[in-house]
Amino acid sequence: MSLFFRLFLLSLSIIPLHSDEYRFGEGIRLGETPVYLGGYFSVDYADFMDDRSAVTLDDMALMLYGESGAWRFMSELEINDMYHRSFGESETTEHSYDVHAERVYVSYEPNDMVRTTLGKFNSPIGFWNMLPVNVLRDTTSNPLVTRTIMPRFTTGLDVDITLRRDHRLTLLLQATPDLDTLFHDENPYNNFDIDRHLSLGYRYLLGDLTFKVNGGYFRERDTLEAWYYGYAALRYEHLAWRVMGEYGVRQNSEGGEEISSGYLQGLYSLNIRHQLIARVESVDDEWIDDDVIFWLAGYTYRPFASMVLKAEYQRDLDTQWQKVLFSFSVLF
Amino acid sequence: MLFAEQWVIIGHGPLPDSRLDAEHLRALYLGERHYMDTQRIKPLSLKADDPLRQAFEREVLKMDREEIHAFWIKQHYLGKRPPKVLSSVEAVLRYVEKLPGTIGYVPLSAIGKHHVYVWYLP
Repeated sequence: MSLFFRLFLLSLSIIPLHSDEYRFGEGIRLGETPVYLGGYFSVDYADFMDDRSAVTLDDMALMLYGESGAWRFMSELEINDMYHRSFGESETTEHSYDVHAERVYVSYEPNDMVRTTLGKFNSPIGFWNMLPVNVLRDTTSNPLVTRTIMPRFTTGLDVDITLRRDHRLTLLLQATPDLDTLFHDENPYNNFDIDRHLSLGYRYLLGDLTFKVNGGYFRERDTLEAWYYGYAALRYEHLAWRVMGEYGVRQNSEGGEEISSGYLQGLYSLNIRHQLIARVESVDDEWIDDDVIFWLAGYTYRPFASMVLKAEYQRDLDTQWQKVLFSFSVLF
Repeated sequence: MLFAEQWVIIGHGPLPDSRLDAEHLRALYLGERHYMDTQRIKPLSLKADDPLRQAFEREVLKMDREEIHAFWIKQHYLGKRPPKVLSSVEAVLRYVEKLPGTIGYVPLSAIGKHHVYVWYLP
């Protein structure tokens, strides 16, 4: 895969870049082709407020995409946790140069009612998972519900049907291992290593309010353990305010273990560059008999639309465990 | 500089649908919709500092420059591109005259002898 990545970079160096239309953060056109190149990276600093801290070069990704008529393709390769250094009781430095296939898909949109996508893509569940990269999301940390209930990525088919402008149905179907197993059989880039995923979703738009609900099933590849999940998300946007909440429940197919999680977040934009965020999150995991509720407050500064500095403070309501996060991320 | 002239949206042929309203036009220019009837639409734009473009973005998209840039940055992650930018009103007129499916905003007075159709009048 690293050879593939090098060839990918080499091919870019021999294609003239078409920079006339370039605006920082919107990608660059490759010559006279309908293909665009972009990418992003993120550096995070975490202080656990107990003498431990860590710096991570969290994401380093390149995107290549384009469209022709009703067809569109996207390929995104990413190196995750490329550099990680921890300080405090155990000082370690770790590197990773493994390149993962994060998104590789082709989509076809023959009209405004139907869109089909084939490949590996972000599971279109909830709101957070649609724009999950640090530079675009609201806080450095991701709400736990987006990592614990459903697979973040699906390798297979996505059919979106817009019934009217305000009603949309989504069908997701996966019947193979994750695309990234072609390169990393042991550790594919997804929060669950799955070989089955079936999900049905509905989105409803009512003025400033958007509501999404999903129900689905997925199977873990190694253990063949099957899970059912339900997921609901709500977003309300009005003037400088945005309120967003997501809640999901996942249950073992044998009716045993159950995990539920959710968050409620308020965001206030002082202006287009400065935002204040407050969020409360909960996770209830029956298997480890743990119930966690914590809150966070964050501040986001965008000197440019495609460059973000974030600060965030998290605190657990029971244990008083706390953490401070800072990050710098860029989309190019 | 404010743009005080009457502007219109022009298309290559007759309007493929019964009408084009402001909401549909906005969705076409923001890449949220791509069709009118069965015709795939390719919107054209002028350069960012063009007073007509600024008027169009203010009146139809109801967004300022920074909001639009922030919007297209998100779309860039999703693999979507902003409308093609042409350097002049004359270039927009020629492009639309030549290529089916393209639309663009131009001053009404600039149409002259160009073989284009008015699709939308604000």
